[in-house]
Amino acid sequence: MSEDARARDQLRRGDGGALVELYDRHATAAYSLAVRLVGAAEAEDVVHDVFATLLGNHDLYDPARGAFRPWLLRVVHNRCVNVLRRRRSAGEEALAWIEDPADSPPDAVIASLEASAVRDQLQRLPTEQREALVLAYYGGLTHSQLARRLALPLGTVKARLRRGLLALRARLTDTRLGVPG
Amino acid sequence: MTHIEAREALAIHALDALDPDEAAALEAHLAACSTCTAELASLRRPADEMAAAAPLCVPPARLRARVVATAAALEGAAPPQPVALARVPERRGARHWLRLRPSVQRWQPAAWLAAAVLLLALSGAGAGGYAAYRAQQQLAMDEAALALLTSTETVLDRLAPAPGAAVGPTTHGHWYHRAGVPTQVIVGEALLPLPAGERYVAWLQRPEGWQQAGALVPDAHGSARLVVLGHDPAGTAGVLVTRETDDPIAPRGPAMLRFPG
Repeated sequence: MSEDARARDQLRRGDGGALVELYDRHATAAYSLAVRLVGAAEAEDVVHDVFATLLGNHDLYDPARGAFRPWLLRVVHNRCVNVLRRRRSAGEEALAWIEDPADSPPDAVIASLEASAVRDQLQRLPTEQREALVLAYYGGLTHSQLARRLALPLGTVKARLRRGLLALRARLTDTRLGVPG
Repeated sequence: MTHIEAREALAIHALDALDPDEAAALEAHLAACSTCTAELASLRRPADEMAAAAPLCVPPARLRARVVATAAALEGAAPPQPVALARVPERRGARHWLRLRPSVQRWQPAAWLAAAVLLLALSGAGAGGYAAYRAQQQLAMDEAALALLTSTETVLDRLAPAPGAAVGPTTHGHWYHRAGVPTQVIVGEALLPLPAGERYVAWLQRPEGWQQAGALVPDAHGSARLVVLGHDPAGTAGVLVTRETDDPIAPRGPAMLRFPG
């Protein structure tokens, strides 16, 4: 049994110590992603709430579907995106005191990334694809928000996101396999 | 959503970038399509790598302390044995249509344990009475608040400094609420100490006007919590925190935090 599956089983028994163990192993990754998206002030609440939700809903995570960390980061990302969308729906006045992550230049966001493989492969994508990927994923924009921001037809934005992610998947696979880029 | 439409939407869904209605339609398709489910899992891999590539930020120690406290509280959240209570006069008074609990701590396991121990001690001694009633009431409030905070449906709104308010650079707050659930939690963070005789008071903007929710009493770190029971927040349009010198029935002092901004 993997450590993640064991921790999930402990959570099912109501073992709070397992939650802290999971926190100690994954908090830095979760918090880093949340800070990138919603800023430090709200990142704490997002990460705390995600871990609290995990203890209160033991069956949310199924080890059969993959490792714990990628799943956890998906939950964090989804929570952050919801925070951003609520902020944006509150209007310009409410946003005035918070930096919107979608305002960061995509190339600066890519340059700040920790993992060299992702950073390098994003930089090698065509400009319009990497812009779309960064604004959607690290900026928390929906494809329709992205279309409005870039003043492009919805179909064009969808195609850029799709082609960009497919290309990134292929490039990262090649990188893992040692295929020259 | 057709299979072809779903295939087109999978990459966008892997990026969390579908509009909510389209995401729901795609999820319905995924429940019945193993091909699309497998493709989505594959498309999530590069998205997962983007997630793990975020610039490194070390979480503050206080975040771990919050998680530890929450874990301890939830772990010990089993309801205590029923206690035979003496008849207790119901507390009534002006504006007490809300049942209030000002709290200066986060979900401290010590508080839970203390309350449980108190209940058991009272039960064993047969003392009952008002103290037992209050302890049981506090446990019920803590459980209601925890249920709210751990619900995936809970809405978290940020209380921003009011324009011109004399607050610290990181002073802010949060309002946790969920339509249909008569529990709300109002939080203040990095609140500055107030001069003697002044206090932070939270207000709810109800259709009938501003209603006092209670005092926010900061701890040594400037954190304060207030659990509000008794009203569906669906009728609440906003939250305000003011500085008051007495016990007014409507906001009188300067606004410090508010939602909407």
